[in-house]
Amino acid sequence: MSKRDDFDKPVDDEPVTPGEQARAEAFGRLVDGLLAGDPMPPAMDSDDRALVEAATVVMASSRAIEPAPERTRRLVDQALEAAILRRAGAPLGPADSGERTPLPVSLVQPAEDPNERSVTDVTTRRRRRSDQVARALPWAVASLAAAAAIVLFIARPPQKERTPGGDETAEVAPVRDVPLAVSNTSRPADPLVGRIAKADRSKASERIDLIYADRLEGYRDLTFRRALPGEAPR
Amino acid sequence: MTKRLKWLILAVLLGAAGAFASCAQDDRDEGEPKKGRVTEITQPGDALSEELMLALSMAKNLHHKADVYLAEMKSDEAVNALRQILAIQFPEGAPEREDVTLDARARLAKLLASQGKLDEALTTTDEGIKTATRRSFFLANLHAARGDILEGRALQIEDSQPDQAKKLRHDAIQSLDEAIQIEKALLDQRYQERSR
Repeated sequence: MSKRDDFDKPVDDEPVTPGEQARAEAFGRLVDGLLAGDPMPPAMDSDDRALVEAATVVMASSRAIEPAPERTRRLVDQALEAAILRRAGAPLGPADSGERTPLPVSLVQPAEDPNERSVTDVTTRRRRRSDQVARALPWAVASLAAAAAIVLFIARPPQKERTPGGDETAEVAPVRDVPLAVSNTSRPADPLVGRIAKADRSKASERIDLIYADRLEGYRDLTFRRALPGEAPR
Repeated sequence: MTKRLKWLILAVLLGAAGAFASCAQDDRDEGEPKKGRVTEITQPGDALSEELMLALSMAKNLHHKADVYLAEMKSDEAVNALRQILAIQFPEGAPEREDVTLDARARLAKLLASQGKLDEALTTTDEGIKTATRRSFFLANLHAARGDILEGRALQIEDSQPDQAKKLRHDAIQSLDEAIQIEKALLDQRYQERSR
């Protein structure tokens, strides 16, 4: 009786023998190993091979397939890359028209290491962009330095005049030469005050007010004429 | 590559030109007189300066401070305020300095005399007369103040020291004559200026 005949028999007819039980267990271990990725035994009976293939198909259809971790990572990278390229303005594929994009052939059958390939594609673009920036950076810095030198030369800050004392410096506003009127000069206050009567001898406070007001008027006139070009002395 | 080389040469030339021009400008500033760009030192008797205005302002405020003290009958504090006017630093050679200090001395001497400090008052006037460099109404006022103080001193000692009192009156007349001569000279000068 062949093995096929054994399986074709009604199950409830006879009890399972220990030999059949041991054979079924060995067969189960073989199928589990194949599903886990073990290679097929090099030599196998054609009936057993047919049974293993049938069992593999049944097991694969009855539970979810979990791809290998590296394959999962590669698929995620490919999806991210496609999304980045689409955002960067790459030619749109049929996926944008609402249809699902079929995976490229390279995704199904990678020519090289899938991890290397998927990650390298993204980093290569980044590296290319950083290389462009690195190439342009010296030129940008040189141009900025030249522009800054020109701007500093044109718009120079006010000169600092070194005082005769030595170390201290003070910012001094430029002063124009203007013709001086008598009222703009330091001079005796006699003509302004006139003769001081005996009764006014102690009224120095009023006289200093008069002198200060007169000199302040002349000083303001001088200051304004220095600031405003073309002004004539009063 | 040629384009990059052009940019490189342009950037280097621009940068070098800017740095060179900046250095050259600094050298020129150090080598040549900075005419019209920096403050020219005001010469004595020349343009009014900020320093002179500050000195005048201080003198004005100290006189007003003395006014306030005198209104409160605090003559000692008023004397101190007037003494501070004598220590104000005016620009070198400013004619206003002499006028302001002589006027302050005249007021200070009168105030000291009113306190009975006649010797101190005379010292104040004499020091001012010694330092005067020109005839002015302020100097004439100081001579007149001196004459007033001498007259007051003579009145004080008239009964006890009649000879000394007589001498003091003589000195007072001399001081008043000096004041009159100064005023006369200044008035003559004014009339001459007006007649031109």
